[in-house]
Amino acid sequence: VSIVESPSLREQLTLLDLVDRVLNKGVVLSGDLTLAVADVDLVYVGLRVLLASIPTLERE
Amino acid sequence: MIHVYAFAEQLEDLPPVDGLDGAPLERVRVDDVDAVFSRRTAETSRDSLRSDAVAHGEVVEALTSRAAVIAPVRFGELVSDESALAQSLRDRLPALRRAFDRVRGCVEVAVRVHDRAEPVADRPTSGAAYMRSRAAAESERRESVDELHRQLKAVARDARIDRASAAFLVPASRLDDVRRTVDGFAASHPDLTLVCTGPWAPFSFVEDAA
Repeated sequence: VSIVESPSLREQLTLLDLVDRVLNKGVVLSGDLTLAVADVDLVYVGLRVLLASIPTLERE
Repeated sequence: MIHVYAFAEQLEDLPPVDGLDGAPLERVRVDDVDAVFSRRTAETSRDSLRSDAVAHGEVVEALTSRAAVIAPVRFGELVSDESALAQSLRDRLPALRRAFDRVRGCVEVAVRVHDRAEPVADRPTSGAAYMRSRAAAESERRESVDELHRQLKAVARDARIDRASAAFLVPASRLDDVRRTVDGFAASHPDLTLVCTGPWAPFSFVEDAA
């Protein structure tokens, strides 16, 4: 296992976990509520690409 | 429309941070539980999604230290007005109290495990050998990840595990134990990439407060 040394990568990974939580977890309200965002999934897929490239980034 | 950030028990003052679109934070209280919200003047677009999500997370973070316990609300839903929010809060108060009791004194830690990219030179020449080695590596990886999850569960009050991505609800006083466990696992598994973040508000452990 490599400890993530790059501060910018560490920041990105932390940001990813934060955004993942905010968008996908938490108390779900219902009833008189409407979705504010239609394309969350699309953006989320974009974020996953970052994950897939971690080993590559670390070798650099 | 108003945007809701979190429910909070025994919230002192509102934190000195802005909500989405720079709008001030506001609160509506039932008994000793507040719903914290702000008024929306714009809509979240694809371009602003990430920054809006981060702003939501920052408000939740700021509330954590000012309340006895909080239950973050998922981003992306809107309530029509304050009275609808107050009614929603009254309706879910018993479930919220149960959620508060479950996560009280705890923080969330996220742990993800990823394979390192395979070195090309080690790749077997025949397809069958390649498939065998892939299968063996995958099974070994799964056992390692299960072992890490077992160790962390021993420290945690609760866990949500979705294959290689896991969240643990950990008493704040035991964060050092989590750090030691993860560091120890990392040192003995040079073949895996481990991403551990936190402490977060207990986003993954309040889903049944609806």
